[in-house]
Amino acid sequence: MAALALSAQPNRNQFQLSRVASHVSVTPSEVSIQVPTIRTPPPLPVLTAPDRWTITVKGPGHVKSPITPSKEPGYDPATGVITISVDKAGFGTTDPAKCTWSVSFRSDTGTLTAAQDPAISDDFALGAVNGSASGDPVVVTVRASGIPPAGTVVNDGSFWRVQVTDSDGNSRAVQPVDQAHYSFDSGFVTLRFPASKIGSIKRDNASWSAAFLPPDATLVSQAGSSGGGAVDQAKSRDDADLYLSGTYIAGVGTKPIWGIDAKAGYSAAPEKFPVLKWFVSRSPANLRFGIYGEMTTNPDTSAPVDRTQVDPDSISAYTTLFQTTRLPHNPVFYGMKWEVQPIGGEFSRMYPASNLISGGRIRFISVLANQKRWAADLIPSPGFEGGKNLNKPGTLFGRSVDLSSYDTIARLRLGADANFYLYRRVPKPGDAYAFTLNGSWVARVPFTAEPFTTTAYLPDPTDATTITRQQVVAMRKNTRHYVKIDAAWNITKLFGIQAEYKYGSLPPLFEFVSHQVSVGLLFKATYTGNHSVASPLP
Amino acid sequence: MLEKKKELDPDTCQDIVVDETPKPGKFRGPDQLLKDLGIIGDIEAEVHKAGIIKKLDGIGFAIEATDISSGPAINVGDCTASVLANAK
Repeated sequence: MAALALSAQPNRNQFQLSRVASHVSVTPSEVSIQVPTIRTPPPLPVLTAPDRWTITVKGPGHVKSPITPSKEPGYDPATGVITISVDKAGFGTTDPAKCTWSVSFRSDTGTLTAAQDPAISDDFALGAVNGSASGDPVVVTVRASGIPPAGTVVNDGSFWRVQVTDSDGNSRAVQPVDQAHYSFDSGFVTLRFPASKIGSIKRDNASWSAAFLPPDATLVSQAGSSGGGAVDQAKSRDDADLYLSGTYIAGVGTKPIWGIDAKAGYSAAPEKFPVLKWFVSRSPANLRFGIYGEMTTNPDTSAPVDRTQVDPDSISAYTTLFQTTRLPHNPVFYGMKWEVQPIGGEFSRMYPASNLISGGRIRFISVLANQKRWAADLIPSPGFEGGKNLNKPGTLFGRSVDLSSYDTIARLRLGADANFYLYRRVPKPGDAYAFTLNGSWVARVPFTAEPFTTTAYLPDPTDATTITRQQVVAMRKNTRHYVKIDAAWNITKLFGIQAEYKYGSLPPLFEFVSHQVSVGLLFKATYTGNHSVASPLP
Repeated sequence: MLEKKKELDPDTCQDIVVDETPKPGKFRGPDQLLKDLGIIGDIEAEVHKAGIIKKLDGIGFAIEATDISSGPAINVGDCTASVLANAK
């Protein structure tokens, strides 16, 4: 068996202060806070020396800060929790529970700090339970979050009850268990008891649950942490698997119009697809095959109302193969995702313009900033696109065009995405973001001449004496940029308000979008199962 | 003689979960959210899962990306629990 080789971490075994608990205990004479820790602490004389601790308090009123402990901090070796007390007198009329607390500890090797984090609950709770499929004794691990009761209560096997149900429906409960051990390093309770206590129960594919029954409380384990529904919140259009947006659009030289933007995609391991499984029995880890389609409608876009200027009006559909890789630790890039679209189509809804396109890109993921309430990343993505034009209409936008040289398509595709995330004060799975801002830029550099659509004031085709603003298609090799900025305020988990800015042009006709701004209500969701498709090559 | 495959334990799973984040040095405890370790969005969570899958593959275990709980609002312990429960 391959050896477990983890890269060395500087603090792998180093004592750490996890946080300051949100709950503050107040008595007439003193105020106490709890500080959960991990790993082996320094010797007690060092850990409990009051002069090594500094407590900083920020409150709604005037509070004397920093403060030193009023007595030796207490360390609970069973739970890893340090309790620190300070005099109540320094708070005056200010409620200590409404203050923000942080602590620092000066060890012999450096200074450790911790602060309150509203995103982390203090309440002791049980999560997923996992039982060993074989072996004696039976080993059951229970996820335990929050701060457990003080002392050795959590390590007392008589307070633990385990229930196992096998695939035939046979069930057996065990209480007490022979051994219980809470690890504050990993946040798990490990329970052990002889296999004879569950008799003939088949442990393969059995379901396990656990209950902690101390004298004054009852805690029951929760199901695993997978999402409960088929869909979950997506942070933006690019990340959504299913997306539907209604928009009200106002742009330069345009009349207000309504539009609908929709997309859908699905992916799975290649061997999960009916035809592909004939060729692939087991694909490499993280390799996915997907199908994808999107369409942006924009009613009444025909000349002479100028409205096509504000929408590329393109439809796309493609298949894709992609793989995600975590890069070795380095200060710049966290991961890489390559995507190949073996075959895809570029279509224009209103005109017979379409291309058969293959392409690919590599996305390099870099975490730029990572603060408590906000974060940002940058994702540069070089790539290529190549293919063939499928039809050459003689007339586009009411004017005759010469597309005879339009055949082979070869483009360098350079791009980058940037994301800004503002988290909710208490982020929850599936509902982490209060606000997101996503920017993307793509530059297509064609190696062969391709249509490029601009607008110009020209004699009207039906009345040469009238000068009107018209769309003009020319074959050019100029670089075509496309910029999109997408801001979303998430009112609820799945619904929000979106503002979007677009500038540039998209294939196949590269109709130029001049500073389009749209606002609208949106619904966005991702599959909780792994059926997402890679983001399209916009 | 074939060596029997060792069962995963919480400490090993937690080491993998933390090590595959962008900033493992910021780990402060099992209740800490993964966003504090650099899993700031969906694309980072996708890379995190890919790293866990590859690391498990290296020690003889397999897991589906769908069975790994990762994301900015998932804590280290719950991600560890999902790996522990579903790695085969």
